[in-house]
Amino acid sequence: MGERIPVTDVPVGASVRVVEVLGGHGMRSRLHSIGIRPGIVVTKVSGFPGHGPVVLQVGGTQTALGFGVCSRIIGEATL
Amino acid sequence: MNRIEKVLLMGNPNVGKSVVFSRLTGIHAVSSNYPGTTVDFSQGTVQVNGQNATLIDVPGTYGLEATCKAEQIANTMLDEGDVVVNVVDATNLERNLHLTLHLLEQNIPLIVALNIWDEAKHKGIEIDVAKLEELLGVPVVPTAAVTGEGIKELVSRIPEARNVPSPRRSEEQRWQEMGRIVEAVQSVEHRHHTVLEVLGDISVKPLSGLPIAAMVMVAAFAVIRFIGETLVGWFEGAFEGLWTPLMMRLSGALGASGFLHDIFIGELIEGEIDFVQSFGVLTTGLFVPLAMVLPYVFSFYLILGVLEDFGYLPRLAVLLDKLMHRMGLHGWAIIPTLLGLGCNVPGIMAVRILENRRERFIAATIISIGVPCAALQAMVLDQLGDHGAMYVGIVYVTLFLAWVALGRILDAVLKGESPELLMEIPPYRLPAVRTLGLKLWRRMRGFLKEAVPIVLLGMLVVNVLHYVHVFDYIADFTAPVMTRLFGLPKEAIVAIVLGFLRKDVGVGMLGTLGLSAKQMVVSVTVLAMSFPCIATFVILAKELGVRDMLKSVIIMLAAALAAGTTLNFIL
Repeated sequence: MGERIPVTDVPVGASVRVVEVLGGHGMRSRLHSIGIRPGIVVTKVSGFPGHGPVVLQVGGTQTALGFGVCSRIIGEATL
Repeated sequence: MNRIEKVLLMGNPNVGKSVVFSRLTGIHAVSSNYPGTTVDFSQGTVQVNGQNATLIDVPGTYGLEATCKAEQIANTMLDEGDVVVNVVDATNLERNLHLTLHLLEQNIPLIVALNIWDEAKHKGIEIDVAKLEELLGVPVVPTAAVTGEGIKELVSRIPEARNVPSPRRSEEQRWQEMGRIVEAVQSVEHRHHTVLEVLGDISVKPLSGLPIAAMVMVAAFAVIRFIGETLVGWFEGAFEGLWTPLMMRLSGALGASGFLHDIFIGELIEGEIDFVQSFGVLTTGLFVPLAMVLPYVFSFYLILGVLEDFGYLPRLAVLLDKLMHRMGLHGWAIIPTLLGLGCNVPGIMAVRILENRRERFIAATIISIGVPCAALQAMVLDQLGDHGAMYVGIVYVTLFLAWVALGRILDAVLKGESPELLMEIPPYRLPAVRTLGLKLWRRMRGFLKEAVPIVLLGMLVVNVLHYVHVFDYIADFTAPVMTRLFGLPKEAIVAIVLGFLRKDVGVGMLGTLGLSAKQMVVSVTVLAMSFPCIATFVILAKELGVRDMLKSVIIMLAAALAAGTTLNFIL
């Protein structure tokens, strides 16, 4: 098992497998519906300094997320 | 099957539903390459089995859990429809199937349009349509709405839509099912990133994205200015060559003065008609909207359309997210703001895409204060440009500072927090000329139908009131503010009041007062920031409610007073 880190801490260009999405039901289901859920691989395309937004590649789509939302997505390094 | 009366068009945001809609109905719904263009639902007519059925373009949703307003609307509409056409993005099949599975669980016949089919092929994505039909149990038609491919087949197969009894699944089961289907029907050929994809990635990274954004904005402004100015030149020529002789004859027939002459032709300047100065309904009243403003409306919407359809705006929203957060908004709010640069009305209508009331209030208020519409800008460039680019710059900088400052103040004063960004970024797409042209035409037609009559009516009212000297009383009443605080002649109030009808006409009126460059800067800024024009007023009341609209207006008046006075004393 790899190390569990919030996706905000993942370096740009790296991919992680999502293991958990923290937060309430509303937030989880919003993230679910855009394809972010445990088991899938996300790649960090871009991250803005100073707790700025993060852009993730999820399947064929890119999604921009606020820092707070993104820090609740917990990933684990893929091999 | 029973007669089909209502067809619902449903799908995820930004899968080209509105383009499918306009293909099916011949109605040109506005579409752009970013999610959420359809905030309201629109409806049209489609022929099914030779009979007319109502087609409803339902706002884009990812599911049917009613977690947001669009999903609630979608849920309610489901009860009323007879058939659902589910538009699916072929380049993004797995995620799109989430809604499809939800729809299959409903008690309504379904047909799937596998849209953006052309782009999927380019991307090396192969989908076995027959197999997908078999697994879903409903008809699947590949379409490329932008080119019209597959639309005929889609229409002809609407009656084949089926309702497959399927059990309600748990969320987990749905995801498993989606994975299983995609595994069975889709194969992706590995290939290198396209130029557009590489460009897409570098324009959302901070180090490369910000310089790109700066270049895009400067280039956009330069091109808008260039096209606008060129067209103004042509239109001016046409007016002088064709319209002047006719008006001079009319002027002669009316005896070169008197009530009717003053109203329709206006004042002759050294015996000639001056389309800017004369201020008659048939001279300046037609010249301002058609020759001075229309060219800029055209070039602005042309460039905006290209940026929209290319898919640049969501990237700009990401880049500006931090800045917008300081104003209690998030990056998305840049989209209504840019729309506002064309006309405040669609800009304020677009604040609906923002999540909560606080955000909508802040965005609508600062748009109506700090974002000058294309008509106003065209007139400012013309009237103030003669005094030097520096003065035009002062107006823009003042408005920008007011926009930021008010956003920051409202963010600090109003209770609550700004929600976080959660937005899909579409791939870059080369704009389709047809879609671009239709959208441009629709926006131009909107301007011609709504703005021009108000300009003419405004000129008529002003000229009549002027003739009976009503303005003298108002001018005396507001003289202290105009002269002491703003350093303007007391008559300037007429132009500012006129701005309530149309800002462009207001600036035109200021042009007749013989103001100095400094006075022009002050008065134009006050005009831009004070009362919104009547159309914006109506839309503010509609979107915010009367109470919030009044609050917004008080903020506007205070801001205009402060900015006008400050400029007068520091310039």
